[in-house]
Amino acid sequence: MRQEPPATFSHRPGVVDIREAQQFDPLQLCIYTTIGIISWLITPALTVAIFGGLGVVGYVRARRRGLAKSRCKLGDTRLVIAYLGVAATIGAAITIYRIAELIT
Amino acid sequence: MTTGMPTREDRIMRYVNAFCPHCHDEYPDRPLDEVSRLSGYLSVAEDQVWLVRGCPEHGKVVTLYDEDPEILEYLEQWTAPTKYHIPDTPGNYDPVPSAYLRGLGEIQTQHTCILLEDVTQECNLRCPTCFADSSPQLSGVVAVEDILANIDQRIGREAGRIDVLMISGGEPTIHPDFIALLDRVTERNITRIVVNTNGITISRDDELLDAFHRHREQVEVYLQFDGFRRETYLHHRNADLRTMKERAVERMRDAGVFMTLTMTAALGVNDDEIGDVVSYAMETPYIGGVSIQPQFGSGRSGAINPLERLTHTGVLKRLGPQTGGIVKWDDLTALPCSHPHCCSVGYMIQKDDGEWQSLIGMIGHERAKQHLDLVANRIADDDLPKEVRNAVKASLLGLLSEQSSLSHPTVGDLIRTVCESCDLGVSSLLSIAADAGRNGSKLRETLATRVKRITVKPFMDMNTMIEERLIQCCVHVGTKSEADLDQCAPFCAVQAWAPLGRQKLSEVAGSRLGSVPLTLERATI
Repeated sequence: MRQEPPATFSHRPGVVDIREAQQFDPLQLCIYTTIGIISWLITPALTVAIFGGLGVVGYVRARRRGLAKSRCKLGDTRLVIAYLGVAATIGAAITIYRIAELIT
Repeated sequence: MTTGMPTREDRIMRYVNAFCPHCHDEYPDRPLDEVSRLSGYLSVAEDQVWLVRGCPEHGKVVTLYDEDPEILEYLEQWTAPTKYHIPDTPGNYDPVPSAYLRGLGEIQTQHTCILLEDVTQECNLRCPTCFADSSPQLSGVVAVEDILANIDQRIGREAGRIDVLMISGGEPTIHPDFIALLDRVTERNITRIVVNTNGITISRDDELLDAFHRHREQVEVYLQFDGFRRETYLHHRNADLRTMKERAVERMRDAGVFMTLTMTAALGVNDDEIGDVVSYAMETPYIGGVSIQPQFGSGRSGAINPLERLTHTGVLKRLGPQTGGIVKWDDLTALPCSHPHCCSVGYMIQKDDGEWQSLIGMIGHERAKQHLDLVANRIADDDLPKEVRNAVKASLLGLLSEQSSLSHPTVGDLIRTVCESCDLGVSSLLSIAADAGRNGSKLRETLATRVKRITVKPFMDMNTMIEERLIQCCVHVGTKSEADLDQCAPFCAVQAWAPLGRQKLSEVAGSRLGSVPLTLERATI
């Protein structure tokens, strides 16, 4: 049998020291810098992975609608799809590797 | 810099005025003008609804209000306009609850749907969970003329008609002049008369059964029926009454008297028998339905855990799993005239193929709301002419009100209007209903087997009492003021606060010893 009401009804936020609360702490600058570092380390490979993946999807659809030859230097859409696929895979692999490096 | 105050983990449903159960327990007889109305709110936490109020003496007091916020919010969608009332004392603007010492006050917002008359304190049982605190030792028997005076005064203040008169007690059937009382009240303009009984007298008294048979068009029996297990009856009634209940049901069924099973349900005692009682009602002719009342903590019934108990939505939630999905919680709606937390109601109709379906399920929830004008931005149903729409609305409001009873002939018309207009595919029921003018008894038989009314009626004790439900209450108990004037007050308030309880007719009679001598012939088991 229940003996106490839900804990939320006895919850009371702690009183904060007003001097401490009002002291200037440029925390957000620290946060932005950290986000910048993380982006710098993993962004190039992530960009390749994302755009490569989008490119594969786009060219597959275009080929299904009849596009056999692209204005891309590679010409044949099958070659373009293969190129984008390889790029996306390498980008994804490096991104995962970088993230793993950052975590461990 | 901090991120500021954290967001609350509970979700507030509405702000209410409530009362402190601890203060009440410390001094139950406290004068009502000293009872504090406390600021509070209903709040959802851990997927249940809690009543939170602040008491200057006991701090924050939290009690369980209802078990399922989703179902409670569903019920809140079914509220129809209330009706005007005439206050018992003009100019009574006293606060709740002391206002009720002078009857219904000016600020009441609903008329009397049910007038309950306690005709005797005496009972032939001494149930451990009796909210009226009745027993064989008490002797307050109200003279028939005093009961009629209170009823007539209410009829006068209800524009010449009472929707429902509930004769209660104690055990009303052991009142020495009960049959005379029944004869006299049926002469009055009362749509439906209900007798609350434990069934002991009915199970063996032929004269009483004849009286019920004679008045069967207008009178219905509310039979206490808590389940099928011996332990259930020992808990609620202190005696194994199963054989007697069975006999009372058989006798009323054979006499063609409509009855409703009133089940007092308590967590861990018989909350798992709700489905069985509903199924029994659906199988048994002349059991018009079931009224399930979660046990509440007024009177002798004090042993309810205020943090873990059976509630209105808890009963609704149990219906589906316990009836094999035949009756589900959304087969019921809130009773539109009462506060939506106070009562829910639903009709189950047996179709021609034998399958049971709810009236609201047949019509559809959104369509029913449109018919009841509950949808503000409703789309006009062009298929139905305006007159038919009005007829369906009136019929639905009639069915979804306290005054409807399967024993009453007009209910056949109400169901017929709704079924015909909504094309619900219950053709044989309709053809019989259409024939009702020529063949009323066949309609009664059909209603007795193929239509069942299920209600859930959660009364309030001090752990669940909120002011708005009292102000919108439409179940009123006949009382007498200090100046000996006939008046009435909300049922839950009368059961909870001793100074109001002492104004019940039976208590007033009990305090004037020897007002009516009690014949014990009927009182013995």
